[in-house]
Amino acid sequence: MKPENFATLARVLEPVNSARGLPNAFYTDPALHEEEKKRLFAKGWPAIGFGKDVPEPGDAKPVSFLGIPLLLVRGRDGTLRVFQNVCRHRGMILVDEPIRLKGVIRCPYHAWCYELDGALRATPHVGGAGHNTHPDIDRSALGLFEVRSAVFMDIVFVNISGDAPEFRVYAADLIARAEAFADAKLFHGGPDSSFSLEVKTNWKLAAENYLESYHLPWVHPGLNSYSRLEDHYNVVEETFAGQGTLAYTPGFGPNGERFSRFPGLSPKWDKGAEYPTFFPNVLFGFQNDHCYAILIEPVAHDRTIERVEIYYASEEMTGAGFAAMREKNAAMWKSIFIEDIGVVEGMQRGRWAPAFDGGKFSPVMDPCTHAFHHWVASHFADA
Amino acid sequence: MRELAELEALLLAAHARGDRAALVACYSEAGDLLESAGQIDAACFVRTQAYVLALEAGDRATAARMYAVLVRHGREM
Repeated sequence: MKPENFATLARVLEPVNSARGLPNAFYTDPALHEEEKKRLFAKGWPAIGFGKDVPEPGDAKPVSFLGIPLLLVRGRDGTLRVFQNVCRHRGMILVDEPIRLKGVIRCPYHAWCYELDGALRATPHVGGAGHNTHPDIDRSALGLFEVRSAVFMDIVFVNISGDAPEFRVYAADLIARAEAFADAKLFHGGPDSSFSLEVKTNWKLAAENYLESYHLPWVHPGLNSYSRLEDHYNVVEETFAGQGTLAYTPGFGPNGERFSRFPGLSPKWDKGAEYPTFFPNVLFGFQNDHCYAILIEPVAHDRTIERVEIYYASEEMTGAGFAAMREKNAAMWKSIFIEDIGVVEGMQRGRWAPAFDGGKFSPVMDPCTHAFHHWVASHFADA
Repeated sequence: MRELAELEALLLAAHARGDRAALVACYSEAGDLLESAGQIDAACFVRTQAYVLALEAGDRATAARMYAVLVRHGREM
């Protein structure tokens, strides 16, 4: 990292009242983006996909995450595992597109075969034509490279470095905050409850915009009627930060009909909703009648994909009888997230202003944004 | 039992249309043919093909049968 950035990082680590935000280079420099992959993504628990991507035993889906070829596989026992998507022989990509495997994973190159738990099952002709063994080929040591993974609220998290604390330990503060949502059975709304947005911005700006409610009256004027700025509060913890509201009063049907409520929620959720950002790349929405997750995928230093998946509290909510309400709900969220594109792309362009010093935070409205900047900067403290 | 030349033609056609079940059947049959002719290496080659394709297709019965034969000839463990 360049010396001028190092000096600026010290200011990011100051209290919100005096701190400045991350320097421009964290948004515009591809080299720093590469460094973030190692420091922020490889060592923590970022999300790479959803359990619904591989719903049935035998389902496999390749995922390119930060340029790393990964493979989500649902085992015959229902367990979801993540592997590096390469054969142990010649490094060939094993699975190129989503597939429902009837049997083993067969490498398309020399046909080495792997069980769905990653074990190397067959090495055809490895000792010569028709000879499938060789003393120097120890299958037990040549299984697929498994990546540590955890599924929480149907989101697939990975720890690529392999040395982070267990997910439920690492994310204990988020899990506690989520209360009954954390262990609720979730029902995805189906195709009408799934959408993606491609945004010309750095991934952090997508997260930062979600971290604060300060912009709501200006960017989302439609929210003023039922989600007023004064109804919001901030939450800052070690692995997440975000906003909550005290005035969640949904009504999606023509006569104010609602989706059914998640079981086991405390009274806090009667009119409350929370929107935590789990660092680095998952934006949650917890409401008593539906929840969603936005997976932020950093495609490049200036390009991001936001993948949105919406879940409900019961199977009935996923049926045809609630399709119109689900579509209305998804359309509402989509319109809100589209309203944000202008500002997250505008902030990205703004990072090319050489005098911009990371920005001056509002001590009252921006503590969550600052917490995120602090989290990023702290991972570069030894740079 | 079919001749090898006929099986080869069937194999090429099955490869062309990606018909794994037909491939497994043809390779397996070719294995029997070659073993009866005393061509053990060639038989194990085509049975390996059948074995792998059966594994991929989830055809456990055929995979187990091919595996047993390959083990008997010292070609699998």
